[in-house]
Amino acid sequence: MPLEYDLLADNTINKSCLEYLLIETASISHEATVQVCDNENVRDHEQATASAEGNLTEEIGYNIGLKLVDYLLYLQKGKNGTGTPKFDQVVNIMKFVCKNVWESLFGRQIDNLRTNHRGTYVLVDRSFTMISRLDSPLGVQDTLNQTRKHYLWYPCGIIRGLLESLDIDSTVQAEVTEFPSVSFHIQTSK
Amino acid sequence: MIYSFWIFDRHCNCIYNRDFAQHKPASKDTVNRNNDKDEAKLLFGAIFSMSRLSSKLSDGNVLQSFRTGKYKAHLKETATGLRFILISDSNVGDLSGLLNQLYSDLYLNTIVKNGLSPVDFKEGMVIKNMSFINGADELITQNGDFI
Amino acid sequence: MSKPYKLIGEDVYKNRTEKINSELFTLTYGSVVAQLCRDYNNDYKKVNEQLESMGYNIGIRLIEEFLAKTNFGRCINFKETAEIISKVGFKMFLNTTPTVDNFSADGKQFNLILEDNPLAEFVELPDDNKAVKELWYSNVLVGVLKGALQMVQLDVDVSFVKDILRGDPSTEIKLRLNKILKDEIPAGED
Repeated sequence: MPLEYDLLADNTINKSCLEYLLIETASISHEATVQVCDNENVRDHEQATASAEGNLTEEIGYNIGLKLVDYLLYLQKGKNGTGTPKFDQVVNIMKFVCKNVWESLFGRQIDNLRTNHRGTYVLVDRSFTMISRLDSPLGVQDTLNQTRKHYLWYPCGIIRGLLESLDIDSTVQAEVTEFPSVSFHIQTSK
Repeated sequence: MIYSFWIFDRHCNCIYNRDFAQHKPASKDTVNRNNDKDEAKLLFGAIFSMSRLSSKLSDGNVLQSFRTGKYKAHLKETATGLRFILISDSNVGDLSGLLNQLYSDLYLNTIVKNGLSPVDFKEGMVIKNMSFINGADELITQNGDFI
Repeated sequence: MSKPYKLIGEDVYKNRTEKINSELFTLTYGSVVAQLCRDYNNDYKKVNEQLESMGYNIGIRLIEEFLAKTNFGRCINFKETAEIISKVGFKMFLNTTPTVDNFSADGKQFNLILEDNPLAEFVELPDDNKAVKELWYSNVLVGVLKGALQMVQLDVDVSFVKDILRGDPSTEIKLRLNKILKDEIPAGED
């Protein structure tokens, strides 16, 4: 479905809308997966739950990622008419993710980008806004568990979808090293 | 001197309680110690009855505080039935600013916008996430009327 | 005494909210709806229910933010509720002001006409001839309104009656007040 953007006067909304939607999305994906697992009589319930659920929120992120490049390039053109970023090398795409994508989605840029120049990239966000307010009444360990289970698939999916839209296959995993710092490990074929 | 902080929810349950010892940082085990005690029930009963009386006396007449010989109770009630209460000594002035901060800044950011915290507390559930507890301690102990 | 709700709404949105580009929210919401349709095998009635349920959970949080930023108390009557929802509530979160229409003689029902709907910007319903009859794409709003109003003791039936995505001339939500809920009282009081 092609998207055509009109220049709307003030197309902003309250950030809280997205925050609440993401909190609720994380909740329902958990419930939906438990149902799926029960229905299919899966033996290794825990593992199946984690990976099936990852698929749900990851898919949601993935679909957003697919459309994101178009949208961001359009935004950039609208703002200051500077040339489109160069997507010739994968490392430049990663820089685009670290700066433009992260800034517009999460309000800040990636703090650290590392690569082995052979298809592995590590992006570190020291204070990932989507998880920084999470605080479980059951304590720090539960906060970490819940974060890993429910809240990291979405950004992983976004990155994967975005790369896919630029013809790059990848696997993306996220790790919470020290809350709220998250590192995204991207493995690409190029 | 602020002695204690209480939150009651729309189900009339005490979902948070914190005592402050005089002149030293209170240890964390005075958090949520009195939620089920008589003191909590009596406090709620008093607030409840007086709020009702206030609104019967005249429309839109909102109870803000009441004072006895030794204590003063400061109240903020939201339209969602949350009641934030601070108990202080009798001489303390207006704490409505602090109560507003506790709701609009702290409760909003550490409970409402925290995906891991419930907003509807079932019987027996209390607020116990550290970001709230630490935040409340900070706001209250740094208030001019604390000591 | 009529309060300047329009001004209050504009002021709160302008000065007391963090803003994001609405398209990001639109993309995310669209992705969620698409995922639900896949999960429920295009059983649009189930999708509507799930959207409403998610909305309810969002609404019970959102109302606290609404009250925190506006300091409003409970409304005097349902007409005031209508004004506040349209001019302050919608403005503060979705940066749009729906029109209040068809206010009933018994003072218990009104419609909201949404001239622009950030959730559905540039969206087209699936072409299966079923969605256009059964799916209420923005049904999350129904849940949000229901949940938020429930928390201030208003038991309201909320439903979509028209949606331009379905080919209707306008997008309209109907709100009907069932009853005013009594505040809970502590055990032992009469």
